[in-house]
Amino acid sequence: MSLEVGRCGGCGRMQFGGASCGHCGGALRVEEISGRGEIYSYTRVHVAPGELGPPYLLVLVEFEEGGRMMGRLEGEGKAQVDVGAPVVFSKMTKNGPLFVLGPVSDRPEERNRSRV
Amino acid sequence: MVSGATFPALFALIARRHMAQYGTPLEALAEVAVKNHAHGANNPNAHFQKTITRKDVLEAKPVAEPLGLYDCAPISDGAAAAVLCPAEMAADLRARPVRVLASAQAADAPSLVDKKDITQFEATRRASEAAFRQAGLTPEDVDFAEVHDCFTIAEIVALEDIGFFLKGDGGRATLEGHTAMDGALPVNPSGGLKAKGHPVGATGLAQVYEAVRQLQGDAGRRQVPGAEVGLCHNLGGSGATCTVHIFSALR
Repeated sequence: MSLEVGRCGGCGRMQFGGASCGHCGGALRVEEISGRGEIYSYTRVHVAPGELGPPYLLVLVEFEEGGRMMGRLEGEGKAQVDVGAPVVFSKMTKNGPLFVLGPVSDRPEERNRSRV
Repeated sequence: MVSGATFPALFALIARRHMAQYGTPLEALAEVAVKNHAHGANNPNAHFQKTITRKDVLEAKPVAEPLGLYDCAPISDGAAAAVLCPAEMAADLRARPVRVLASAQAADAPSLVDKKDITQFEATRRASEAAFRQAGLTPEDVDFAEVHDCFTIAEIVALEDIGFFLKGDGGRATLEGHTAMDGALPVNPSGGLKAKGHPVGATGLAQVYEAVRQLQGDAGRRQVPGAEVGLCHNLGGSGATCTVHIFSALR
């Protein structure tokens, strides 16, 4: 699923949320990215407070368009969870972004937008 | 807001990336814990004074894979203090005073999302460079180091970023014994955060205490023979801030 991010007009950095660039203070313009990326790193968390209920997979995703996002990975079992494995943004939850494994379909009717 | 990004999870992400990027084996992470527990067994002030085996570490309950229970420092109770004075007064006040050769601090992005490479802590790199410049020394001049091993991977990353070993070689150096008491550069002779303990607010000064004891030749069974230059490395956040101090015996 594609998602909207902020791209700084000053330094070009990508950012999720916020009114201005956290790096240089520049104005952000909204940009839609594919939501596709790969696992930069991951961990299966077994001990955690709160409502998430471990074990769960925490992933650091690097997007095709650059920029990283941390979130949880769901629906494993379809493919191997590993550094470099393709993932795609699935949805935003109150506990942060969710990703699923595998490349997303490019068919427009399956694409949705989600604002982060 | 991302829920579930616990401190062990953040360092687990760093560990997994380090393993993928440099081929660092799990055994190298385990060896950091084995070594620091062995060192802690020599320290009567350590939180944990018992030795453990590599098997103990590798088969421990997982916390955030690849980190298990023994990859994580405890949270301890503890306190430490240091008395500072001008160097010219020191000899009159203390039989074996220690000189502060360098005191440096640097900061970096707190989030792993914003770090260029999560296997490298820019704050450690910059603070170390500044400290060595202040002291007029190089990493080769250091006889021992107390580093912030909040998790086993943190010691490996610190060894590389301080400049003791090339990036990616910290795990191999540990496995080969270079950082053990009888190695070329004993790291965390006190037992480190892992075994000496991690009384968070007092951890940095506790490292300084250890350095002073070593340089006074007064470290008992954990004494590094002939220690003349010692380095202390402390971290805040997941590498958001770092302090590096270098000390020598005052002669």
